[in-house]
Amino acid sequence: MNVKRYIGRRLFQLFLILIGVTFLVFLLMYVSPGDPAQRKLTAGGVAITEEVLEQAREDMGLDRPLLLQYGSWLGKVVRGDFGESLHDGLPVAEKLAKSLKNTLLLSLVSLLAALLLSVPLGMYSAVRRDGVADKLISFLTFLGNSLPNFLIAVLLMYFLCLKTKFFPILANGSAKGLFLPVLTLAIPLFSQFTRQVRAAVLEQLHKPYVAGARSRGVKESTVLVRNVLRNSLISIITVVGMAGGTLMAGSVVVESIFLWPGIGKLMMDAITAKDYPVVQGLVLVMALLFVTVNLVTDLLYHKLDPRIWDQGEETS
Amino acid sequence: MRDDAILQLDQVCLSYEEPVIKQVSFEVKRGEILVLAGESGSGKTTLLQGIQGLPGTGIRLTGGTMFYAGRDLSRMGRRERSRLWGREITMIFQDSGAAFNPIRSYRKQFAELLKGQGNFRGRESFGEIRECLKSLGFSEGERILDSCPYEMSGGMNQRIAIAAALLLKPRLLLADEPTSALDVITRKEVLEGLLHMQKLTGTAMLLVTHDLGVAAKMAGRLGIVYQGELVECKETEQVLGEPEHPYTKRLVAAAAAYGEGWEREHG
Repeated sequence: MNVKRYIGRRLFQLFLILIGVTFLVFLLMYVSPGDPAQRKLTAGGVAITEEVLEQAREDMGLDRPLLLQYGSWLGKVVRGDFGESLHDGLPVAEKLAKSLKNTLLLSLVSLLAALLLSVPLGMYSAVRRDGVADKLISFLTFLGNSLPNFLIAVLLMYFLCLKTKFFPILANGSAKGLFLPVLTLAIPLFSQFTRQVRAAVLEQLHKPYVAGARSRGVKESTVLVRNVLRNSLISIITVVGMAGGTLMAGSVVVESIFLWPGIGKLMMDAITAKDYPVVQGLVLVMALLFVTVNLVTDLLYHKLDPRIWDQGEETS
Repeated sequence: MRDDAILQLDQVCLSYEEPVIKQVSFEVKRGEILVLAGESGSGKTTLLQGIQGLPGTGIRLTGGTMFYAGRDLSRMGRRERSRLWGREITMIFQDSGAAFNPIRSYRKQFAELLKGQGNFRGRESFGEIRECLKSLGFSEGERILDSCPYEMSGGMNQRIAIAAALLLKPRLLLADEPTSALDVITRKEVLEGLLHMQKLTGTAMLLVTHDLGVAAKMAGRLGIVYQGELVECKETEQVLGEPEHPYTKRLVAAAAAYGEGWEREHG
């Protein structure tokens, strides 16, 4: 199958999914309890009369048919206008951008740290299977996999902040404050990745091409890195792609615990304050992130294993 | 130890949990083709793997001695042993499409092979590889280099593996059923490729097969492996013409009855 055609098709699917997601997100606002106009006026401290309320509803377009409202809302969203927060009247887009930046920083650093550690350790574990190091790594990753992130966060706080006073308890977006939230997010990821790398590498090590390459005198480092690891990446990428979801879910908990001003914390605050435009924007951004991560994972898949193209050709 | 032997096995026993090869003795002379024939499960592949000595097979030498070019293989450490792979001893497998990384281009894999020998000189080397492929009947060397093994037919992969061996110029080539996954015509091409290589490089070959037709076409000498033992090992005509061991007799009779054409086909 043609690469461009495949990407085109995937982008079209992405477009359809986004239409669906935006409509659902819009409905969220529509079906949410309470009158948005009233809430906005209340938040703004305006004395509410029936007249003022009518005026506000008209200004906000709440008296128009549903699809029209959706259309004009979508039009604004596409131009980056997500409306204003009911809570403090600031533009939602601005709030989103600021917290998204913080969350991406947190997530990417965690992801990178987890990957940089897990790939070599997982490989070492597989190559030296059943050795002391392998057993130790297996035990630690088992532990890291089983602990829930809020528990990890509390344990880290207890030992690294209260006991040794090495890190500040509250992060507030500072560089040093980044360390603990990153650690909290990275430990489960690292554990998950390491186990996956080990399993994938072990599977590849038993493939006949490994024996073949060795018998042809290919250097062991080349066999391991350029052949075994590269072929293992296909299943590693899957887990890393899925970690996108784990990270977003994790960020809600971790950011709330460490008061890291990202989308997770914004989400918690917005839901508590019934700040629907902000919730809308957040859901939209998260959906967009999710879909993009999936698309990128899929494309990487195709890049790594050319056989997938040929299979696609047979079935479509 | 005789000087003209490249490989000499004396009373060799090879085992996984259970012993598989029992007190096998034979030698491969420099530049000769020795074929070992026997049914599946007789231990032929184990024997080749034991000689190559790759890690992870679970095969242990539990008796006897194995000498390669006068050096005791059983006394070599793993590192020393691994230096033999490639230039000294290399193997062609039954399914070369799997014995090469199926999703890595041949260009990269040939480069890796030459780099392993400290013998890679970029553009010049690819010219050499194309020549090598050409001598085995591939006119479009460049296209093959740009392809991955999974895109090729079994026979093509098999002949590409011979090209790889031709580049390595090993002193001993082990071939494990190199033709048994192929149809008659491709089988012939592959066997001719091996003979071509043998003529060109004088590499000694130890080839195992269950197909007496292959043995008849290839072998200078022929050994018959039966239940982990080498029951007979002589000049090919002698083994096929006047089989001694009861198993050899059955094998020759069966081959004649079932595939009376093997002489015609391969001869």
